[in-house]
Amino acid sequence: MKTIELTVEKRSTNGKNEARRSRAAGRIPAVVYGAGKPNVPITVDRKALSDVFREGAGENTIFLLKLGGSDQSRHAMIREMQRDPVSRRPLHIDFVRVLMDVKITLKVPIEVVGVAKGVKTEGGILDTVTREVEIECLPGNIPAGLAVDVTELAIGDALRIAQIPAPEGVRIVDNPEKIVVHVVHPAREEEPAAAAAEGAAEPTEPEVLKKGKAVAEEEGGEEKPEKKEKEKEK
Amino acid sequence: MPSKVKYRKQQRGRMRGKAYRGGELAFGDMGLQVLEPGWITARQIEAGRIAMTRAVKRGGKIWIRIFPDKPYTKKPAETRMGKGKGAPEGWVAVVKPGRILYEMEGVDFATGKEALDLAADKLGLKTRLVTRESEMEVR
Repeated sequence: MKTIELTVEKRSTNGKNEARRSRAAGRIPAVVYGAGKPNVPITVDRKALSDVFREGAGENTIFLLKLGGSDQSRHAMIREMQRDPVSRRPLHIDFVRVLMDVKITLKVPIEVVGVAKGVKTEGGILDTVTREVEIECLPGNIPAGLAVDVTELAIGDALRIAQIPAPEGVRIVDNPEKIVVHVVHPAREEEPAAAAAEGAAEPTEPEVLKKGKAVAEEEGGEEKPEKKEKEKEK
Repeated sequence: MPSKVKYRKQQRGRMRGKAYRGGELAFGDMGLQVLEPGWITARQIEAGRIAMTRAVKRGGKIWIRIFPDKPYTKKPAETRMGKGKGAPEGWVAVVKPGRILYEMEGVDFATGKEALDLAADKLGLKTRLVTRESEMEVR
C-alpha cells in the first residue's frame, strides 16, 4: 500500500468551541499518538483529506504527516475517525504513529470473489458473517483486502478464516475457526402466519412489571407509619 | 412491542440531537437511514418490512434496526379535556436523524434500492439509502 503525504498544522488550543471554529474554517481537529511519544494535537485540511479518500485511500492507508512550517514528518495511520451521523463529515481523527520496521496488528476487509454454487444453482443466499480479518504485518506490506473465492460453496457450506490464503509477509491472527461466509437457505415467506400473529397480538397489552400483590404490599407497608404518626398527633 | 414493561404509559419526551449510536451499517451491505427526528409506529415498521420482503421476493436478508418500545396513548373521540391520560393506543420507535432503520444483504443494488424505497414510502419521514461504499466517503 502506498504512502500518502498529508500536511497538518499543530494546534495549541483545545475544547469544543475551538474545535467547532476549526471545523467551520475547513480544518478537522485531530491527534497523533503512539510509539511511546507524547500526544500531539493537530488539525488536517478537510478538502485535502477528502481528495485523498476520493483517490482510493482507505482505513489502512499509511500517511506521511508533514508538520506545516517545519521539516518534521511522521508515518501514521488512522485509528479512528469520528463522523457526523447525518452529513458524514469527519468531526475528529485519531492518528496512531507507525514505525515502518515494526510489525503492526490491524483489520483488513475481506473481498468476496465469484458467485457461490449454492447461490447460482441452488437458490441459496450468501450470508457474510465476518467482513474484516485481523492480520499482522509490516506497515509496508498492508494489503488493501484479502480476497476469498466462494465459487465452490454449496448450500450449507461455510468458509472459515483458516481457508483464507495469506499474502506474503502477512500473518492472519484471527481465530481460524471463525466463519467468514456461508450459504444458507432463503428465508421462508411467513406472511400469513405473521399477519395472524399481528392481529392476535395487537389488542393485548404487555405485562406490567411489579403490579398486583407486590405493589399492594409495598403500599400497605408505606401507609402504616403515616397512620401511626397521625395517631400520635391526636 | 415489548413483552414486559414497567409502566403502561409514558410521557412524550423530546427528540433533540442526532443518532450518535445506531447510525452505521452493522450487518448488511445497504440500508435505510432516517434524516429527521420522529416516531415510527410498530405498524409502519411492519409495513416497511413486508414491502421489502415482497420486493426482493425470495433471496436477500433483512435486518430491522429499530424497536417500538415506547407506548403512545390516545383519548377517545368527542371527549372533553381532563379526566386523566388516554388509553394506550400503540407502540412507536423514537428515531433521531442518522439512525439506520433497515439493513439488507444478498441482493443486487437495483433490487435492494427498490425494496428500500418501497419501505421508505411507508414511514412518513425523510430517509436516504446508504451503502458500505457511501459510508467510507469523506465529504
